Amino acid sequence: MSFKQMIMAMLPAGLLALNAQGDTIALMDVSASTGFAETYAIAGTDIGNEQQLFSQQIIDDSFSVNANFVGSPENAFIGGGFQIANATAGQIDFTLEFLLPINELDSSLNDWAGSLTIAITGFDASIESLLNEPIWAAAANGELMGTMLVDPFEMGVDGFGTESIAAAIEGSTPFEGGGYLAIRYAFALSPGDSVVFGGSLGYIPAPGALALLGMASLIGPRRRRS
Amino acid sequence: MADAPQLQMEWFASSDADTPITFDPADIGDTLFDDDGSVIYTGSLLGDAWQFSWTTRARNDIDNTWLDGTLSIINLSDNQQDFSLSTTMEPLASFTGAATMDLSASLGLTNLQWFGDAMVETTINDPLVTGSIDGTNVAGIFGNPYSLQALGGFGSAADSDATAQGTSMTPSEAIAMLTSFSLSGGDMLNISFALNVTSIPAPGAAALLSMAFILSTGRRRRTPTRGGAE
Repeated sequence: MSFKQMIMAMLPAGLLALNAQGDTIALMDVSASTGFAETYAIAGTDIGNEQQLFSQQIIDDSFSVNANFVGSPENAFIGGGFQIANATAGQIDFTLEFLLPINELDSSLNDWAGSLTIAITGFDASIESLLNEPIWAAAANGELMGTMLVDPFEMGVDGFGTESIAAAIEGSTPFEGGGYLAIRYAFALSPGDSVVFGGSLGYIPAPGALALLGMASLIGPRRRRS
Repeated sequence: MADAPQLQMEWFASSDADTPITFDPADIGDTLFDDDGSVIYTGSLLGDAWQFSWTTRARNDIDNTWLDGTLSIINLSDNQQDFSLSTTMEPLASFTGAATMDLSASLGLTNLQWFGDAMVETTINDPLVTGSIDGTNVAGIFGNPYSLQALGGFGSAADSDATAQGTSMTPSEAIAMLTSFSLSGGDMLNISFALNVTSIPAPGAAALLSMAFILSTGRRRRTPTRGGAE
C-alpha cells in the first residue's frame, strides 16, 4: 500500500524536522470526496516529558475536522485523534493522515503497539470502510506496520444516539527514526453526523533501555533519602 | 428553518485554579451551519495540564431541541485529574407540554504511554454523563460508581450506554448535557453524546392530532384518482 510517500517527497525539506523555534512540525493530510484536499504543517507545543501537542481545526462548507495529537519525536509515539462532523445531506468519504517526524534513535526499535477507538453520534449515524481500505493503518518511514478494521467494516446506530468500538494491534517493525511515524484513517461518514477517533501508536523501548530505567528508579529514591 | 441556538459551555479542571471557564462556543473556535438547520461548533482550549476540544452540534425547534457531538480531553499531567463540562442550550421558546429526554453517550479511553493502564471513573455522586432540564437532572448514564480501564501500553477501551426518560417538566429555560469524571495522568478520553428533548403532546392536542389524521385519511379515500380512463 502506498502511504503518502509522495506527500513527504513534495514537501520542502525545511518542514521535515524542526522550525526556527526548535518545535517539531508534524504533517496532516486531509482529503474528502467533496473535492477537498489539503496538507497542513502543524507546529508542536512543548508539554513536557519530551512530548509535544499538535492541534489543528479545519472548517469547510461541508465538514469540520478538529485534530489533537500528543507525540514524542524522541520516543517514537503518537496519541490522540480526530473529531469530524459532516454538515451535508450526503455521505462523505474521508482520508485523514497524521505524520510525526521522529529523531534519529540511539538504537533500532522493533516492538510496537497501537489501539483505536471510534465513537459516532447523530441520527441513524454510521461509519463504514472505503473499498479495499482499512479504517486504520500505520506506517514507519513509509513502510506499512499494520491495519485495523479492514474492509468491509460498518458500524451504525438506529435513531438518535451513539455507538463505539475499540480495537488493538501489536507487531514488530524495525525502525531507527529519522523519518515519519504515521497514522491514517479512511472512512465514509453518514450525512449530518459526527465521529471521533482516538488511539495511539508507539514503539516499546528496547530491553536495555528498560533496564536503565529500572536502575534509575532504584537509584532515585536513595538519592532523595540521602 | 431552526433559529441559531444560544449555547454556553463551562469547563473545569481540578488542577487549574483558573477554571471554571464559561464561554459561548460561537465566540471561541469555528461555527458551521449544517444543511439540516443545525449549527456545529468546534474548538479547543489548552491549559498547563489539560487540553479540551469539542465538536458540538445543536438544533433548536419548537418543542424539540437536541445536542450532540464529540469531546476530547487529554490529561497532560502525570497525575489523575477531575474534569467537568456543561453544555447548556436555551430553548427557542417554552415547551408546550411535558418533555421526554433521550440521552446516549459513548466513551473512548486511550493510554497515551507505553507503560501502565489508563482509567476514567465517575466522581462522587454524579453519573459520568447527565442530561438536565431547567437545572434539574433528569437522566444519567454511566452512573456512580463507574470505571473504565484501558489495559497495557498504548491500549484503548470503549463503552456505550443510553436511556430514555419521561418527565413532568415543561422546559422553558435550559437544556443541558453535563459530564464529570476523573481521568488518569497522561491519558485521553473521547466522549460522543446525543441529547434529544421532545415535548409530549398534551391529551387534548393528541386527540386533535388523531382527529386530523382520521379526517385526512378519509379525504384521501374520497379523492378520485387522476389520469384514469374517461
